[in-house]
Amino acid sequence: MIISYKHKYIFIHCRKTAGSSIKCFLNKYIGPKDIQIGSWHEVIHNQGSFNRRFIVDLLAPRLFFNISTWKNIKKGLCNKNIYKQLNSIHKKYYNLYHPSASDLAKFDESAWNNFFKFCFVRNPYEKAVSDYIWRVKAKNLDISFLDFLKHLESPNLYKDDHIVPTQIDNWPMYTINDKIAVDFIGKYENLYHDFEQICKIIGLPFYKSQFPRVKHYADYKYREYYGATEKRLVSKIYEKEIECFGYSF
Amino acid sequence: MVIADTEFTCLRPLGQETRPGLTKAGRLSFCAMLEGRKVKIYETHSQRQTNLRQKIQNTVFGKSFLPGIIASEGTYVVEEWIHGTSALTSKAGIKKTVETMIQVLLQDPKLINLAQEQAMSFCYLQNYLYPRVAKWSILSPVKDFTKEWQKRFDELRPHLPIRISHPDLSPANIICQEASDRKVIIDNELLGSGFGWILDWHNSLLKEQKSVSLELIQQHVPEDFLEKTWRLRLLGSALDREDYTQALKIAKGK
Repeated sequence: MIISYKHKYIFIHCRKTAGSSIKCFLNKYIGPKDIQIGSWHEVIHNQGSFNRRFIVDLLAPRLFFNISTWKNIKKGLCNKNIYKQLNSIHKKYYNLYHPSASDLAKFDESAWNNFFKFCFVRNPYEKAVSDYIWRVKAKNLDISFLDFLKHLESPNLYKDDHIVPTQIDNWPMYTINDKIAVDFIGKYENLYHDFEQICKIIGLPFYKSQFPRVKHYADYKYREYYGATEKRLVSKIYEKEIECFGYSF
Repeated sequence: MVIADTEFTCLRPLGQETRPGLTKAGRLSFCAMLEGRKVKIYETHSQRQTNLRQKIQNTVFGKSFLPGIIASEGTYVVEEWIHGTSALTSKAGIKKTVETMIQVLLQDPKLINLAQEQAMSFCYLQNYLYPRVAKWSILSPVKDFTKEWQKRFDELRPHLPIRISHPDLSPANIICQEASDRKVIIDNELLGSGFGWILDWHNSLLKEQKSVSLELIQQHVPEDFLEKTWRLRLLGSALDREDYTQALKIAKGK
């Protein structure tokens, strides 16, 4: 998520929709008071930089004098992933991970009411596979796609096994009471074109060549992961997105 | 009702006959009194739409064609009530007025900048028309048609400019003001910035074959999409009046 007071926009980072890449691109134009939550380590790895707000947030007494902050820093130094740890610590400052639209509206009502708000969505059938591949790799899990979907379908049964992401469905991230609450929803399938249009709106230049692809693990054909049960599960889990955007397998 | 610290009294519902006080978009709409003067109060889609309405007021378009704003706060706007006769009773010259209005909306550089600055503060297509029809997706032909429309829209959207749109420029909504003889648009609930301009000419219901403003629209919008979008609009109206036979015909393209 980014709230840019400089360029007057709010970017909602929906999961598995190139959000980290978008943040890396937008980082080039980030203002000193802008709030970015998440993806800082990816920004730094893509030649980006921290802004003033990030540093000030990290130096806040409730983080600075917290023992777990220093444990995380130590862990980061040992594992050579200090930026990732700083990113995690910073997330704790706001206690917003992949915040919902209603969380953001409460967090800064004035910005929410007056700024241009945008996010991206993606065909859930493809997104589910991307999420699966990412989680299998990131968490080093040995689980089939079908089992992964079963976890998503009944998250409460499996909440402690680190397979289920904190935010399964992106729908609440850009809707309030099931009504779309943002100004522009780009499609992952039209990523460059839609993002170019967004850049025009918020007054930033767009160069496709400067748009990084941050979390690109493998080329895959998502349809190959599906049987009838998998299709049924995805259409159930992501029913609202499929309905609203007319997505199909 | 208090808006921006001003109290408005004698509220009476406007909107549809079947749902008094509510517009088709499901927003509140009233007439009221302020110090002996009649005013119109309506709810907007969002505060950004309210901001846009305020900013348009300061443009030539606003000063020429829109009622003055008396107050606004959050998602409420209070406009002066326009006394006069509807253009429905004197159609002569109305085509020229609507033509001018649309051309100004599409071409005035200040409005183009404003459209960009307040982009998507209310998009008639995305925030109103499409959701209004898509909720009927339980009917397969409607589902198929909305999907087809959405697919084409996704292809074209990156190439469509964002403009200020007024989808209610029908003669019934244009009043010739008694006091000034000025032509004023009275229904501004759907005034927004987005892609709604595609249908501004069609929505004026003038049904003229030749139109300069329509040609301006056609410069940016392929014919097939214009036709599909107008069908979407007709489909929405048919569903609203619960004319399902007609709705299914439109959805199937018959």
